[in-house]
Amino acid sequence: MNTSKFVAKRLGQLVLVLLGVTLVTFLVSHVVPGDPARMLIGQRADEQTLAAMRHAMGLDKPVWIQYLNYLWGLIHGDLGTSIRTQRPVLNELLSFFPATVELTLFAMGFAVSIGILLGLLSATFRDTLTDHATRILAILGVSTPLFWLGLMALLLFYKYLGWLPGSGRLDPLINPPTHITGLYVVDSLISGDWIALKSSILHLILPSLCLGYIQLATIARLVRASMIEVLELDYIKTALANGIPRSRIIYRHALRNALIPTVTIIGLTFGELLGGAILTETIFAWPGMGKFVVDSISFLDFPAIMGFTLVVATVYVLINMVVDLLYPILDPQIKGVH
Amino acid sequence: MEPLLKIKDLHVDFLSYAGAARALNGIDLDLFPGEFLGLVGESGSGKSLTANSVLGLLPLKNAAIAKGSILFEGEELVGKSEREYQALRGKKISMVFQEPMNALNPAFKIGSQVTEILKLHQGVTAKKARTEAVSWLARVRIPHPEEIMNVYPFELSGGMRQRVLLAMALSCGSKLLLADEPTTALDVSIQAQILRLIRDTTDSLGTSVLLITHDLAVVAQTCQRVAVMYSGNIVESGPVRKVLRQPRHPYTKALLQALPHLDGPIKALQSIPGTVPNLLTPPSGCRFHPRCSVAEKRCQADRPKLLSVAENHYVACWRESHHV
Repeated sequence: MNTSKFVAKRLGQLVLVLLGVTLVTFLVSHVVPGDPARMLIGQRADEQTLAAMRHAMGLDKPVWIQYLNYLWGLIHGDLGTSIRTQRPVLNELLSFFPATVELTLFAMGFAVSIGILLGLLSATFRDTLTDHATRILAILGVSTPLFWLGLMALLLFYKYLGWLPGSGRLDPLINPPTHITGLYVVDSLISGDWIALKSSILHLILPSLCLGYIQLATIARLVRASMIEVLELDYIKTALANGIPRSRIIYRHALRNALIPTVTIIGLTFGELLGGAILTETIFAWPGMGKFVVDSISFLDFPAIMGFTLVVATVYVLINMVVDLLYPILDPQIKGVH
Repeated sequence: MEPLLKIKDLHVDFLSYAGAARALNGIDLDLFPGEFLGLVGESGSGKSLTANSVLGLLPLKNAAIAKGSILFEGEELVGKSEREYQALRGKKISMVFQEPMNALNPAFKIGSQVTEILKLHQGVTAKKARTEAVSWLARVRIPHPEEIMNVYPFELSGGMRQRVLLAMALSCGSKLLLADEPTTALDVSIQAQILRLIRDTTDSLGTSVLLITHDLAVVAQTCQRVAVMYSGNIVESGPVRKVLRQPRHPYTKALLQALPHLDGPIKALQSIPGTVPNLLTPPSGCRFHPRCSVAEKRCQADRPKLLSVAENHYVACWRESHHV
């Protein structure tokens, strides 16, 4: 199968996945007790106002009609109107999306680079102090709850040490850089706004390290395991017997092969980070989609919640497609399969 | 003539929680320049371990040379550092392994794997390495070597891969090739081709070969001299014709009797009773005595030395007259 055919097939699958996602989120959000109309007009409004509001919001129609209406809107690029802000969900998500993407990319860069490095060190110096230290770090990573870690980091680096800012994307006294991509670091680099660049990077450190730590741990453990497996294989022995230095064997011959399973995880990681950003953004008051959705949840803002879920699901599927496209480059044997 | 490789009294231990297992129990072996020597024995007898010891490829954690010496071109190899070994491997001493299917890195093209070694050991430019690699592939009789440079290992058959590995092993002018069951994983018709190829190429280069195999037919076809191993010892060695036609050690005799013959009368195949001893608790004296049909009392008590019984023919058995 050639690449364009493969992409077309995957995009077709994406539509099906998204349909499933809408169905589930729609059902779940309409089954939970609670009335968005009541939330909007307040506890003291009378029954008549409530009925009028329910009618205006389309909540008096049967659920399946509501669902079809929702789908109809989706086809036309309409994710509905946020109950809380009374603005189109799509616009809301778009305005919060870059902040989340920026956070996720930084967390990901941290998790992938340090994760692979630690995994490599651990496998290379297997059963030594380095290995044990790395493994402890990794186990802590997968078992530390994000909210606790975030709070501890805030306490230490923000409150007591005062090294790093603890909330937001920028110093409140600094103007955001010219809007180009919406990623402050990129925008300030492009427009040469060094003050904003420094501030935005400083603001990114704590949240992205906290967000990335869990994934870092997962990646480090995986790289360690697959490196150890690969280092036992025959072709490593061939390389050794041919006098190739051990360092070169590790970084060239083994790592290339050990990275194949890791790439899958990295792809999934991106999706998880997007979703995981909810907690991080809440802790660090990061004005991203996660914070938006948390605010929406407490307001029973169904269109906003569903819109967020759709975006995350779409990114998930797209990332996995990219990963599948990467495989043949890393592992030539897969070429024949596509 | 000075031997190219001289292994003297080599002892290798495997360390396990249950104690040390003496896997090589005093190996003596000489290999002369240009010679093709077969090393035979059943699984677990220590053939591969001997070869791996020469190249310093023992698994670091749990195997160690307990005593003995390995001289290569008069130079002691035991105790060399990893860096010193690296300079030898692939350049002066090379090795090819049993499983050609997995012995090449699946992520890199053949060309890149062959040229890597040339660049490493000969310090030649990428371009020069490429031309040399192509000529080496041609030398091991790979058709269309230019094209093969650009394919991945999985696109080649086992026989072709073993050719590539042989080219890699010989490409930097090794004086000694350790061939660890190089044809065992291949089918019979390819086996003969590869063996002939190994013999022809090493002949023309003057490379000595230590061929490890459990197949006496392979030895008969290719080797000049053979050494028979049993449970970490060499029990008999000598010219191939002599050892195979007039074996002196009971183990060699039993091995040869276990071979089927096409022209002889049809009868049930003989096998050697018992199994290879547990190395953690090896038998006292001669390690073969519990399975030996002619064992005597002293065989249990003392280990026989490998001594000459005829010209170039050595046997380690109490029943050989000179031991008396």
